Amino acid sequence: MDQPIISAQDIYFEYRNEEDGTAVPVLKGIDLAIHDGEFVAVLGHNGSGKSTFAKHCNAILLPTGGEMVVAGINTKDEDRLFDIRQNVGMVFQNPDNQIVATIVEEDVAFALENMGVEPSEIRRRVDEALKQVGMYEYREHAPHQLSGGQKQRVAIAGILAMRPRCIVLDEPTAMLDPQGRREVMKTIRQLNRDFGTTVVLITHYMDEAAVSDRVVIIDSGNVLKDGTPKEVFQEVELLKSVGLDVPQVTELIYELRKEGVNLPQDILTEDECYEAIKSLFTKEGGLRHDD
Amino acid sequence: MMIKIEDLTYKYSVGTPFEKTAVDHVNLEIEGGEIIGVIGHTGSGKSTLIQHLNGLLRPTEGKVYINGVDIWEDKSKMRQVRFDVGLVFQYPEYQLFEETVYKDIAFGPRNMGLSEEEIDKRVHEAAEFAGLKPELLEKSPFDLSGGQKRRVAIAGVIAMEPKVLILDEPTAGLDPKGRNKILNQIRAYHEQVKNTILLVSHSMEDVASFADKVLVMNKAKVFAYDTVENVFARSEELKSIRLSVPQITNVFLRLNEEGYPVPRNVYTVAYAKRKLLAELEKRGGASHA
Repeated sequence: MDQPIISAQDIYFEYRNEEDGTAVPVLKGIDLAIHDGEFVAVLGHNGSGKSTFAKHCNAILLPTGGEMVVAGINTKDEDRLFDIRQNVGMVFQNPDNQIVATIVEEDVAFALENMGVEPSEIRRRVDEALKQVGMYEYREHAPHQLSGGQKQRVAIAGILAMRPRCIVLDEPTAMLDPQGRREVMKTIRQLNRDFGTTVVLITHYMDEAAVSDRVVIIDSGNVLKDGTPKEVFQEVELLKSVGLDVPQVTELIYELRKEGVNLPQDILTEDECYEAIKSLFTKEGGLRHDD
Repeated sequence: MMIKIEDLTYKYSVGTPFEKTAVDHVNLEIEGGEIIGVIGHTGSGKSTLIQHLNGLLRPTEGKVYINGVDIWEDKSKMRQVRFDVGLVFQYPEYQLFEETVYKDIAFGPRNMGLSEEEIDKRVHEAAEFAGLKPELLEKSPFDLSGGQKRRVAIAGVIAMEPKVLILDEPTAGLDPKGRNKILNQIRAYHEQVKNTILLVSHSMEDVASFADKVLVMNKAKVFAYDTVENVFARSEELKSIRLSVPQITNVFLRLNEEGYPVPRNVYTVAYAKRKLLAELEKRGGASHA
């Protein structure tokens, strides 16, 4: 396989407690390789270390132990910081903290201008990025007139304009209403599917993780579980034991199976749940209920 | 404590090119003792509306009555309104400022001019309602986890014993365990003191499983104010105004509409499980081994 875009090799991270100077460990030996084109969801309870891990992906934080290699560059290599950040862009939770300009297209152009890209090339890339997130018709609007979901898509466009291979999103939908969440998730899926951008999505929403290719659970600074959504979400008890959840539909099927109802065990979406329950009422034998 | 909103309109930046009507001729009556979920897309006017309930915003037009009294009639009474109607803002953990958790929770009661004895009693009660262990009281609030900090902020408002408690997205940004913890604490508190609670949330799951009634705001107006059952039965309409219904509700609405013997009012996994097992039991009776 190709060299991974993100390669965490036994990374540790700790910070110093300001009061007593003791070391507080956050990451405790994470090994994780993410390859080009993957859509990886990272789950973990508050304080599990998942956001700290995310900040290692483009050298906002450097590991205190182990090696973090991004796009083939060790993040310790300060001279290559620019290259790392051009390869891996980051989108944060609060869209209001990420928008710097007063016009949408100027905001998207901000990083490119800093990078000294040719004006005609900036124009081309800004238009392309705005089209990718479905915000092209808003290019001359002021960001404060946009909804949360739209602002977040502008923030994503600002990253896309740098043409990164990978985009890391740290709870990008936490502050959005349901429609805003739908818009952002649709955009993320399209980027991955249609443009081949690698996506690392940190989230607290199990239904968002359910549409990824791969789910990584981080708990107390370690990788607890790594697999496809179908594999990971079968571990209902394990997930609950680390303060997480499974999608409502997955939990219902799990609970019914526990009672002996004959149902498939890898239900992740509303459609699958609907079909499964329907089959209980239509298929002969589906009604079997073993006491 | 009854809240009555009469023909309330609120406009931002009146007289400037940016004038915007955030709340548009809203009429509403909220009876005491219930939990009301408040939903609406970003910019629907829900936050502007709730800031009128304790006089943080003054209506451009219309009136707000708390227990029959127009809160703007006599400004000297506003202080009392603020004690009666407690508001917990979004991300309230950023508003903690005292040296200890105890002092932070005591801030409101102290402003009310209560005796030290009464303050002490209230701090302990509020901490318990918010699920904070007594040993946390002497800690700095800044040493706590995000979920704990948020519960300290909520305790600070509970300690004023408000008759109406308004929580603006109390679970935003928390993990599932933190979400459940806060909601369960609030429910237990409500059951004990029987006050009125307004819960503003973007989580349809939280509102559906937690509230008695739902207020839906859309484009500065009340779109619906009804029971949880009646509101979430309007799945398609909710989607058209940028909202949604819980996953499990969607599945059961669809099955019900196609004639399968399942109820329409399913919001929680536990209830869905109970109903399905009962139905299977009924039908499976004959084929039981």
